[in-house]
Amino acid sequence: MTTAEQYAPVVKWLSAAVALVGLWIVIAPAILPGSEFVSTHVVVGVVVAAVGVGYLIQVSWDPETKLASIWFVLVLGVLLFTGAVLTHEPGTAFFWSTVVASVLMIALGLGAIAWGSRFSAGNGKQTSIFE
Amino acid sequence: MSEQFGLKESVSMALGGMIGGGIYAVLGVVAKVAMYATWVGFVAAGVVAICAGYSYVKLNEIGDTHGGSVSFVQEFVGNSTLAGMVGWSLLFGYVGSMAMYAFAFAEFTIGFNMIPAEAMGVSLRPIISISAVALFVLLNVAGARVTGSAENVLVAAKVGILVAFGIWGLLYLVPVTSQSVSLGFGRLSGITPLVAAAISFVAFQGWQLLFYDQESIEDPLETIPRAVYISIPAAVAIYIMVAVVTTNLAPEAIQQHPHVALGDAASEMLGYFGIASLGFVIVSLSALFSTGSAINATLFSSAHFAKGLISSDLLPDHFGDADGDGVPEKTILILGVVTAVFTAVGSLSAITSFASLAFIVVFGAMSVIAFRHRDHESVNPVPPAIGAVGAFAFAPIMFWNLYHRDPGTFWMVLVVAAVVIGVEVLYFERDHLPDELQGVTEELETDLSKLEKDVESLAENLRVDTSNGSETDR
Repeated sequence: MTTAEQYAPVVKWLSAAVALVGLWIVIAPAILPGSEFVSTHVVVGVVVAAVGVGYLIQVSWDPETKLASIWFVLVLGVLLFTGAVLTHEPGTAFFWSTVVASVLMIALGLGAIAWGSRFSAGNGKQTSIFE
Repeated sequence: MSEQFGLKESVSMALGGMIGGGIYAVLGVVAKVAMYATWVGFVAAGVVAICAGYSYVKLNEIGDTHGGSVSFVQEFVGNSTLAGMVGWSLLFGYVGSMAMYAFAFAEFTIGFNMIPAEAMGVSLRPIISISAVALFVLLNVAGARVTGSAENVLVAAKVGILVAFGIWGLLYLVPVTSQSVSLGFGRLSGITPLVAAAISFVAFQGWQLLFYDQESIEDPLETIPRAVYISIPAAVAIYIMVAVVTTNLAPEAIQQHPHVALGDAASEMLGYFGIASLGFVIVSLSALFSTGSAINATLFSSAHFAKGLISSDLLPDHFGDADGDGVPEKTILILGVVTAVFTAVGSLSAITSFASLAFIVVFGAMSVIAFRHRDHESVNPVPPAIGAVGAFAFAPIMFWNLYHRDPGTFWMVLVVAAVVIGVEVLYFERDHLPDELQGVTEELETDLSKLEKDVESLAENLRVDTSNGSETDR
């Protein structure tokens, strides 16, 4: 199995998952009670979804697409999580939705970094997830 | 597949390196000093930067080695100590730039209103800055990189947001709300615009990264000059628009919280559509992404640059293994730790001033070298002369301003600069130091033995005098 064959499907799954989480963050304030900081959530969700969709499109053109900006999903995940814990009213459906979505973003970001490091140049592979 | 970058990628790399994090970190610091005349500072810094860019282009054209500042000093001056000092100064400039980006990253994170400025009485700003540096150290150690080709779309997005901000801001100011626009002409007679230019110089440093990676650029002797001459004026134009709009739309915010005033200006202009809160969120997200990717790219570039210094024996081997593939992890970790210390203990004004100073010195030095080769038929002496005079005028002006306006920052920048130069001299003169110490010791020994002889003869004279005196008494 070539590096590209190993690599592209995982990038596709990661990107799709990021896009779905982003989409959920956009629509959650509209359907969940107790929504706060709506404009912030909508913009953050749009950005996360755009990162996911962008990589989905890019990987269909180039199977060795580099996830150079996946760190931003991780950073936004940490921001949303901290914001939810420190500033949102705890216990509401919106609070838990934000916590779960941000934990997923952090997990996807860290997962991509950990998995991607296996493909770094130092490990003798042809490509790097970020490079 | 060819990995060579064309003009588009090269402009993207240079422009991304300049405005990526520069405007978000520098604007507030400069605007607090120059207010409505901020844009003049950007113009002055841009003129000196483009003259320095011309000097780099010409040195690259007439020289045999194509590698940037350190190679230019080695080839045209033939002094490896000076080349090493230029290399170290650049490295410290990069560390200062990363610390500056990390500082701005934290300011915009807090301005985002999702994380408080303090928790349990502890300021979160340094903690967020250090966490940002740690994240990018981790990414780079894990094999992460951001290259010009990967950044094309992202640079377009970052530039697009700033251009939209500038154009809509100008439209909002003049035809929409008919506000009077102040351009700070009253401040042009003083020294303020030059102070602004000096402080903002770090926001014009990204273009010289093109010279370090010439083998990956298609026809570098044609492409690099065009990329430099396109990207610097483009950056100046964007900075002018953003500065005029921000200083006119958010003058109070510049006094109260200058580092995130850009967000307040965006809120003001989007308030026209009833979406004021979106303005701050969009600018903050753009700032977070821009400063974050600037830390990432600078960390990778500076580690790569440090590896080159190690392999040329201009940096100790303890900083990393120059023989291995990729960038040494140890080098990334050391750069990350120094950056974290800078960003944790320094003020944004001090870090920005220090980073600007490092680039002023290096760009000024390259302009001097280009000016010395003015007899070469392809070198016009005027741009290197402007670059050299401008750069070397900026340094004392910056110190003078800091001394009068902010003595604490003045001493901090001065001490750090003195320590950096002291360490550089100690390192590069280490081979001569034992000889010089030996010479001093021998001189001291000679003096001591001479002194001993003098003391002995004095004692002898005293004894003679005493015995003569005794005989006389008798």
